[in-house]
Amino acid sequence: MLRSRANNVLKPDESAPVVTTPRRRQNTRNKKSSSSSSTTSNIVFCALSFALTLFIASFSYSNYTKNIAHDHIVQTKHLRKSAFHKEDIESPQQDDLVPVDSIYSLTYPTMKHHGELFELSNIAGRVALVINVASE
Amino acid sequence: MTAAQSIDHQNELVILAFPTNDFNQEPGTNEEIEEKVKDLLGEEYDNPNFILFHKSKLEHNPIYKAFRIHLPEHEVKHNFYKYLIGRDGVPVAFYSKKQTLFDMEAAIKDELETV
Repeated sequence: MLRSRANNVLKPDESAPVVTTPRRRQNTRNKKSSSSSSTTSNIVFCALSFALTLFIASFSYSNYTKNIAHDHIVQTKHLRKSAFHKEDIESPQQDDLVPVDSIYSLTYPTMKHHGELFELSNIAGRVALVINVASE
Repeated sequence: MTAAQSIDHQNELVILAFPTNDFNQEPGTNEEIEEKVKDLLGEEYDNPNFILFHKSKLEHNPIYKAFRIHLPEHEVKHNFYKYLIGRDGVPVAFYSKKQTLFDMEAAIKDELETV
């Protein structure tokens, strides 16, 4: 069966004109159309990949700038804080009257001042008796 | 306060009181403690030479931390332990709860005489 079918198919039709040329033209047209479509798809693919690359680059750059900005803010805060402390340390009252290791350079909340911090530098130059107390 | 005034004639001695529940003898809040101390001292509570601080754990109190650095060999083992502080704010002596103000009299007078 297979052989006979093959023979039927492959037998040249002697009466029919040669139609090889138009077929070839169709093939070339098909090839041309397929090549143009593949070119288009290539262009689209390239454009998409380029756009994707741009998107990723811009996203990472924005993150990078955000991180830099955040670092800068933290650093500024730190500098401000350290400057504040520096001002405290270099204030003439504490440096002139109180040694560095003195308790008179410290502060602590008191009951009399409604919980406000009491600067022990207020009693600098006087003698003190410190007692830990309890009522029971 | 009266005993302190009897030693200090020049009004140069300040008493700094730090309530603590480290030895389970002060369960009250700051407000309750203040009321009790007011009742106990009366008018003396308003004496400017007496300062009552907020209740604290001594290990978290910066003043007691400073004491441990200056006098590491001494440890507060119960309430009413006392540190004598010189005019420069550095502790010079340490007393247990059994030692009274009169036991400290000589040392206090020495510090008061130091200029």
